[in-house]
Amino acid sequence: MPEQWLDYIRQFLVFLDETILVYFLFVNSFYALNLVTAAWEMWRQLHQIRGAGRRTILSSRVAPTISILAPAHNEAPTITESVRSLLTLYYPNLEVVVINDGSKDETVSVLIQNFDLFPVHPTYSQKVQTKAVRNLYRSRRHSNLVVVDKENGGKADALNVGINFASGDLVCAIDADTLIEPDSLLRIVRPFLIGDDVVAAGGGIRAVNDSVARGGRIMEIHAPRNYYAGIQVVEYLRAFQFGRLGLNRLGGNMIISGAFGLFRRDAVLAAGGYAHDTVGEDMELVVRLRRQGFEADGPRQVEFVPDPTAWTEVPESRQVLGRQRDRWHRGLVDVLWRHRHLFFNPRYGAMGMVVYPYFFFVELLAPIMESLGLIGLIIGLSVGLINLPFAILFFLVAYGYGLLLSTFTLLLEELSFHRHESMRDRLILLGWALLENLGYRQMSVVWRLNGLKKYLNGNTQWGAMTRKGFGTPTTPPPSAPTVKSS
Amino acid sequence: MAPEDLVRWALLVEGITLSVLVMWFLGHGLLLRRYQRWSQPLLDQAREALTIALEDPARGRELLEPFRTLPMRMQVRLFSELLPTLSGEQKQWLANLGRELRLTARAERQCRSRWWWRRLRGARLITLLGAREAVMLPLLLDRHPYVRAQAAEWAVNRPEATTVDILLTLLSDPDGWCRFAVQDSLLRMGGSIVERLTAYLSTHAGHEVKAPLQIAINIADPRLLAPAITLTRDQIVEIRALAATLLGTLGGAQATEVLTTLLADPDPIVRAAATRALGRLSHWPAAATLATLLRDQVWDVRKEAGLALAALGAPGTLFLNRAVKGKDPSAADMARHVLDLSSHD
Repeated sequence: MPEQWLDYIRQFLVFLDETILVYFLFVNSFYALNLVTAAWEMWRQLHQIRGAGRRTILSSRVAPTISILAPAHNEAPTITESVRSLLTLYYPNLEVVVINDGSKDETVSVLIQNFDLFPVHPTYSQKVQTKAVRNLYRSRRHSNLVVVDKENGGKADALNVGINFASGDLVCAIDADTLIEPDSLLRIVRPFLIGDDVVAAGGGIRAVNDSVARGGRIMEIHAPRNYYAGIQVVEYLRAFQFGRLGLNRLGGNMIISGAFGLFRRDAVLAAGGYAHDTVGEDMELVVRLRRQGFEADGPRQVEFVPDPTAWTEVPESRQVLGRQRDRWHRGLVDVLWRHRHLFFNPRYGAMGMVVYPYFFFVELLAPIMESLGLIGLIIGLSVGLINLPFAILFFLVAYGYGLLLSTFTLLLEELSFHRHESMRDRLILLGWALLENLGYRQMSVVWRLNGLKKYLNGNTQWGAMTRKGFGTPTTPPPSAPTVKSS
Repeated sequence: MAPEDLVRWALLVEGITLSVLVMWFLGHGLLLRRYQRWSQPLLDQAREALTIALEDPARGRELLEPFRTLPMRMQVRLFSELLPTLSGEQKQWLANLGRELRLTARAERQCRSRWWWRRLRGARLITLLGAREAVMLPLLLDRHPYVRAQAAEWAVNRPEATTVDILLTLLSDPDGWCRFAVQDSLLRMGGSIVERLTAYLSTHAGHEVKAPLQIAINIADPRLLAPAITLTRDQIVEIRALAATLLGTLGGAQATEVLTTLLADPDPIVRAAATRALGRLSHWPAAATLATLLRDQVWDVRKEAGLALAALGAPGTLFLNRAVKGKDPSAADMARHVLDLSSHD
């Protein structure tokens, strides 16, 4: 190869290294800022939470009504327990809307039998277009239970049907296989009572793996021993718990987990409900609601509330986790592309100037930049541009920084909610934090790149999500693995 | 500084910070566990002593000696646990004990702090224990909304005109949590606020009366009839609808007459509210008009008309059955839906 070409390569590598270094500094500074903001926000919220009587809301005659939307698809083994736990949530004005999304198993008959349902002529206002509704049921035992049986149309369609049938001021979207702590609604409703401009609120999501659940309630909390589940506990705490809490102060959130979120029903209806043609329907709705708020000068604030908790089973195998992360990344790219005109658009305030660019540069580009960095490192080492001791030192700094952020997250959790009570669990979590950046992070880069590739190829499949399940199976006995809603 | 040196320094800083964080994390865990092991038996013992003392104050006095030596934080915790579940003499006895233990004095000091979270803590404790009004009344106008909200919670047992008037003005507070707490407190005060509430509704209009109307709906006192009728003529749709709902809780010839006229209101929200109100009052002379609303253009009005007809009993069912067989498919649909629902009531 001519010397001139080698020179070009060297110059390119220098440019690449410098770009990645700047990116590294930018991303990590934002992470640090986010966690510090989260600490401040947590301090503020804890003062409000601790000692405040949730009894006030529980016994209030003016608390907004909440409709819980629980889409179910082939959930016969666990549906009874899930619905029972929803009906016993502490909240004064509660309605539970179960949407059977064209299940092929006995989901509806189990519900009819266990909740004494009777058919009602299905008349409803179709404010959001959905697949056809086959039947509508009400319960003789629970006047606040509504069961809608519809043709299969996916999770977004099921939620839209639920929104059409719901009568509450607020709608709470959950996954049928999520366990919600009994007082979570009393906690998650707080932002709607505080601010008139709040359009949605998200609660904390935690991994239930290895914890003990009975009767739809979490009895004992343990740190998972499984490699993938364990690391996800740390990851959920950092990214979903404190990461989103920090965003409250940096321009508001753009994501509310589909497993547990509360929305103003009128705003969701005005926005046209969930989009059917995306795998990131949760994020898409939140971005659309906020955009609509900015454009119509209506409510547009999205808050994350750290103390209400929904427990979900996280994947314990590489394949399933990989599929989930690839889908999440496809969803992210899709939503960012659909709403691309928000990018550095001052009309949308901090959402356009801070939050959207954060999702673009940090969440979307991270796997590309990380893989470029790795390739650049290998080439740089092979052509002698980077010396090995420096590369090792730099790797240690990068690894150490990631570890620092995870440990800071664990400390925040310890100082605020300290859900893991035993020292053994604390040590296990510390161990997972130590291992997170070695292997798991690199796998995550591959999964997300895969998602990006699939998005560019037009793949919109959800991918199968097998779970062990943590409920007590009821009639009929489980004959097939539980499949995540649609 | 050379890049290698910079990276080495960064590594050193990271290492030190990481060690501090790990020690803090594990140290906090250990201390917490130790504290829980130490405090749990003391708390259990004190809880038991308090329970006995509440039933037999004479005997309880001796048992309470160890309780007095507990750290104030634990005493506050026990008071917060027990006081909301008590009433009457027992509550008074426990509140007196709090005063004796100087918890009230401490809370009063906190209420005067320059830091909002201390004032909030103090206000919470005083809400439990009770204290001089001079300490709490100013907190109704505190600069921090959480403190104002807490003071509103304290005001529940003080339905004096001055307090109620302040609370009514706080219904327009810029902070939602404060408004919610005030609304809740006024509702808990119940009938004792009717006079002030009537005066307020008679002298205000528009958005300012939205929250007071919601309170009035829950109190449903006949003295509220006159302002309710006036407010059915308000410019704002929401206010007219709330006034109609209020009339539905009050009843009487005047109320039903106004409600019947509201069935022709140009706004569907008001029509729906009036329909619901007439159904609630089981005002059967309106059955024929309600039946025509089964053919209203707006689904919510049709639904309310159906439910209202079902609430009328036999006359309503007659109209519903006619609608099922009628030519209008949306009226027939709604009538069938409501008949299905009412057949299982």
